[in-house]
Amino acid sequence: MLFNSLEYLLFLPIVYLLYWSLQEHLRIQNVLLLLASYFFYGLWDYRFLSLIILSSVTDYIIGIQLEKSDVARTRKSLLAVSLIVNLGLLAVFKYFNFFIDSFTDLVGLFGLNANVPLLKIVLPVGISFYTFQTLSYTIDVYRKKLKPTKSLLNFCTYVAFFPQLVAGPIERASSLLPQIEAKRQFSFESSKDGLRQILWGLFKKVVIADSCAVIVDSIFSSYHELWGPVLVLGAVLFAFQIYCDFSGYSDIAIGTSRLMGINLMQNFATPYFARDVAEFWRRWHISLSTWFRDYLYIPLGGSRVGKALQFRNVFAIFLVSGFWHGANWTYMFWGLIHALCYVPQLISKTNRNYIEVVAQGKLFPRIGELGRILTTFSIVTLAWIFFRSASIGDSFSYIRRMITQSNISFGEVLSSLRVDPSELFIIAFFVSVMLFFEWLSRDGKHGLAAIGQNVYLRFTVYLFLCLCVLDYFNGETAFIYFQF
Amino acid sequence: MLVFFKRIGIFSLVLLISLWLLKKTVPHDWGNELVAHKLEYLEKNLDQYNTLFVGSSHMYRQLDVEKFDELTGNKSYNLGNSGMFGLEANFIVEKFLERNQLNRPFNIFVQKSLPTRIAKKNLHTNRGKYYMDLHRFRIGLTHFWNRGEWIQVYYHLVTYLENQLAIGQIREIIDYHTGTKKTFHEAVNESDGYYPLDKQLGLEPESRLIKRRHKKYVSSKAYKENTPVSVRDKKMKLEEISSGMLYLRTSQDSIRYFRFSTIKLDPKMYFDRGHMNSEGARLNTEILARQYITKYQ
Repeated sequence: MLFNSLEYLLFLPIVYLLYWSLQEHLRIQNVLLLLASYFFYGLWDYRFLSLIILSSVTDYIIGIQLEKSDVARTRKSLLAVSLIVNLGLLAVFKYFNFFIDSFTDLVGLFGLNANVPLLKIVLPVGISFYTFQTLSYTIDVYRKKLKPTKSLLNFCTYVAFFPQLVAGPIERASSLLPQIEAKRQFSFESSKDGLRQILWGLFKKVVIADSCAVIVDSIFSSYHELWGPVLVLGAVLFAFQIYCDFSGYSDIAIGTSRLMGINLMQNFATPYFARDVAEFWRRWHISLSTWFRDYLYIPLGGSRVGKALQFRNVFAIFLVSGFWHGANWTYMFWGLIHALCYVPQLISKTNRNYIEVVAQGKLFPRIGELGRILTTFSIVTLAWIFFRSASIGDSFSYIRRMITQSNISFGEVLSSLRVDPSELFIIAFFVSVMLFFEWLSRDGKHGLAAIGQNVYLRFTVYLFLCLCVLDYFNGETAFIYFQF
Repeated sequence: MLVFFKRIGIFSLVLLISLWLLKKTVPHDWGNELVAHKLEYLEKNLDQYNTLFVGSSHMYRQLDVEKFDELTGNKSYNLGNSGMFGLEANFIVEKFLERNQLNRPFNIFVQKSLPTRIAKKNLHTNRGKYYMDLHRFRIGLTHFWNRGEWIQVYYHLVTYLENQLAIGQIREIIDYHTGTKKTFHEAVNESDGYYPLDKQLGLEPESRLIKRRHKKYVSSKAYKENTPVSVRDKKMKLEEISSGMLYLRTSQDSIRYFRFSTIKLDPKMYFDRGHMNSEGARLNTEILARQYITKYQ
């Protein structure tokens, strides 16, 4: 089931009403949450529920066994089993064909012909998210940072909690599990703000991301016939598309969760207002960045090792992050670009220059800050070309054409777009609205966090956003991150 | 919790009323640009006409009103449009009669008025929902409920609600009121609403595909010579094939409603796999007109 579907519009109020009517019965409330979550996922493909259940039961049992055992070797073996099951699922369902392809290419370099057949594998939605979630639980229990839960129901609910099941945020057990185990209290403020965040997420996804998608798809599919400025436009629109798509999903997930009285971690913090790449990564897909930081970067030594190892760690985290996104070299290259931008900051020790939000306490940024924001946005947008293209070769051709084929007038740009220019102006307007609200709320948790207390203003904004969402609503456009 | 629900309720009510009111600002035929344009022309010149054809592209592209009028002595207008739904045709005819008091003999040929299945790709489109009022929704609901086609029951419900609440229509309603989009169908009205595909697109027909599809058809040569037609190995007479093409469905006051179905002609009479070219349209119309003359004139 998609958040931007009619089914969800029916599903959410029903679950919500049932959920709060069971406020006094925590166990039944959790049963409801689990069933609702399995139903939510099963509507896409019920067969893949078995993978979630397998992953959940495995890590639940391993968690309990880890607590029982003090023998280091046994504990390591248990951890290995969890890693093999979870990463094995990922390897088979997500990377199998990629490995085979790459192997065939590699032996082909030596003049050999490896005729290994590819499998027709459907990628289960959300597999990268929930396997990382269960893995983090087992690793935390192994490290004795977390007490394993005794309740299979609670653990399964933690893994399958529907708002964040298919595209995150990748929630840690130490944060989510205690909330599932404790009795929830209805909060007017939390529910109200949750709804607001859902509305903001829907606006970003349905109005901006889906509108950009039409033009972006058209540009990237025929980039070899288009002019440089059109290709620049395609890259910029993709930057907004992927941000609004993914952060929109996260907003709906977090908002829905808040309706249930459960707080999820913030996943995006206005990343396009970042002043350098390091800051961008503190604000983009925070749940994944911190996951890699805690379970990969720090165990490798983080920044408390020699320079050479620091570089290795940075490259490792960015390349693995790229690879996590998909079985394609383009994602790895995307990660590599970010690593190359990050390393100079690490060397010059400027990677933690911008911890606070930009222009804090001020209405406008300084010229220098604005320049840094635009530079960072340009670098990130350039890297997105690799993320979006079908192959690395295509990415380079796209960039080459973007630079060399730029002698064209604005009118010719519009006419070569193959879309109604008014559509482009409408998108520009909505992107401006989004940036305006996110700028005002840049130290808040979502775009409508700083909307103010004036009831008429708030009401008008909500009405405007609702009308926009209803107008652009087209039923069921999937989220980009579902494929990861 | 009560306060929360109360506020959501008030907001939702205001939102729904705003949407409903917005929808009320457009005329009933808004949503299908060509039909709206044709209706506007037809109603301005209604005195000239005594016959109306309503239906999908099989009407719009294949019913040559000039030929029909030449043979029958009627004066006809073709209100067909590509992809017109069964309930849409029903809606258009009903609203047309409501707005125009016809106190004179008048023929209405409706290609089909039963509910057609709504394809998933047509869900959420303006063209696919502008006609779905409560009456049409009830007809569709009953029809598909009785057949146990639950997905169609659901699709009809979605279409009805979206249409009543102008969901997915707001920008286009604003366009309608601000007049930023102009219609461009004058040429269609010059030929009384009929416009064959080969005239509009001027392309070569997909003859290979047409032949594959038309395994059984009426030979135009046989028709003209009024001889038996060879349909594969069977010998069939044209009359046998086309006799069920037209029938009088009902007659009310001075208005007669006809239902008719299309027949298959030989492949050279087609522009594409589903639509006849001008020549095919003329022949198709001729067959219909002759049946009309024989049976009802």
